[in-house]
Amino acid sequence: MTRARLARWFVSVTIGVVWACLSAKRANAYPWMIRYGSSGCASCHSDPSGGGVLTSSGRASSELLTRSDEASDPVSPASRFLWGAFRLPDSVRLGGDLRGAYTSTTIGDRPTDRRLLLPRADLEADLELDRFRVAASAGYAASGSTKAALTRRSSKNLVSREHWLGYEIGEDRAWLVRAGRIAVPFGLRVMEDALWVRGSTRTTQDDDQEYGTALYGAAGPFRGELMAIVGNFQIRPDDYRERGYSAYVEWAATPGLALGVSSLITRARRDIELRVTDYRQAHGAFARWSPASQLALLAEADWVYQSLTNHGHRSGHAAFAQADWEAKQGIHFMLTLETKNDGGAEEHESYGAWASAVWFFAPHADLRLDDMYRRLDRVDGGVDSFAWLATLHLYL
Amino acid sequence: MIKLLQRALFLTIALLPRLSSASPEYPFAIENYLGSVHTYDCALCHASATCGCPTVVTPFGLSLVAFGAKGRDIGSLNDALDASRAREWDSDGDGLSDVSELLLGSDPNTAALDGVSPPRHGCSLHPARSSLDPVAFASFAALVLAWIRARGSRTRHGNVT
Repeated sequence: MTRARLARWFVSVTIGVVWACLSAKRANAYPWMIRYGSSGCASCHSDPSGGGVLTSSGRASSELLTRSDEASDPVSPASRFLWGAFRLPDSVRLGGDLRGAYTSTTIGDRPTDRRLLLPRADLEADLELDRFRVAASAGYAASGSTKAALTRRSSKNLVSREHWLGYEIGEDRAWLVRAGRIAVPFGLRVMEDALWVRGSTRTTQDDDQEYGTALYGAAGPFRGELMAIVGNFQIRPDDYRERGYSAYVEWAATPGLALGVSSLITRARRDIELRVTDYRQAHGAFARWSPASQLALLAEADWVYQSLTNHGHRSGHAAFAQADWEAKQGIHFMLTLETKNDGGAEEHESYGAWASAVWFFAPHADLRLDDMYRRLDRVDGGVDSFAWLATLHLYL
Repeated sequence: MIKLLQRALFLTIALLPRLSSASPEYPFAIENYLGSVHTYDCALCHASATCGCPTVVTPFGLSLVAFGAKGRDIGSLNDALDASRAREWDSDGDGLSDVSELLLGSDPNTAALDGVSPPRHGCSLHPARSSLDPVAFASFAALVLAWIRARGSRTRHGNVT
């Protein structure tokens, strides 16, 4: 890491700390909502494990708890779909996820790669018919996200990351059985898909969703979801589809502390990356803790194992820890540390550190800055990677 | 795939006169070079798993010949492996370099085993190549939303009057 970059990090963190001390009021967040004693996700999101369309309650909470200018009326038109352009019944939830990013990445001695990206341009819908639920998303991916593609181009595809039918069970509808393309229930459902824990376990929110049947349940301080995976039918031939299960259970030990475990086992006749028969496993633990009103700590550690028939095995791990400090309502500073080793022959540990800041500057709009350093292990030795990202996120 | 075939054909024609004879010690030399826990056999470069077949035929073997490997010359083999590693040469075009595959224990000559084609994406129910333009789809969705809004506005206005 260069001296100039270290100095920039130091100045950023110092400013954040001083600002927090001078102007602190209270803490707000996302999985960070643990600060409010809110360990569940179902009241705010159509996916009870987190993510998907915001419910009317979720939209109101977003207005009330995340904006830096502290909205006085959480049910103002601005909190509704398209900032109030449409009046929808509560049983119809529409939303949109738009993210535009500018990135600058330097790996080793290679020239710096700078580009504008459109990481997400999705419309989402969730329809509630008594106890029945129908949810789907459709969007555009200029590049990548091929495992969620509906069209068959090498780029510029129409994508659908989720589409499922569900039925709510129980007096308080706290249980949900679903079938379709569903986000894999594993670990912490964070927004940062680039985290190694999400990549190594193949559980990103980008295009790692799978088809199958899932049962979500919540009882007392426990919640969890079990999914029977039947494969991703947006890739073919069938040899590349993984089948098995994924599950997590989380225990809200106190209003400010939640602990969980995850497990995943799948088999693919041909692994999509390694092209050989692969029995893939990931097992791990995660935690969310709010030790102080302004601070949320997130952590996850996973063991990953791949048994490659006739080609040996790979045993590795991935882990991260993140401190999220809400210096002032709607303004967050985050420090993230991560590590991984995928278990390749002679592979050594890779390390990463992120310094991030997020500003929720308007209704359903935020600006995020990330400065990332990573030490990547390579067969021919380690290499340093520096990346800088600015992301504008709008939630329609 | 065509690129792979072109590459293999080019290497075969260009290097035909230099194709080396089998070197029984080479599998062990590769193991030593990589410090690998895996064992290799002559089929890595030659047509047969047992040594004695003189001709280098596999994409990986041909790449080593192209990088300067000669028969019964361990030094040239090591130099060729150095070059392959430095250039992250991927003989079967599966995204993993040859050296990575050797260390992993997979075959650097075979991207898809048992005749399985490479993975493809897109809706499995879609019978043919898509002609759907996502931008046109987004424009259509925007028009529908505008229509819904206009209709809702007219309805509210009608209720008031």
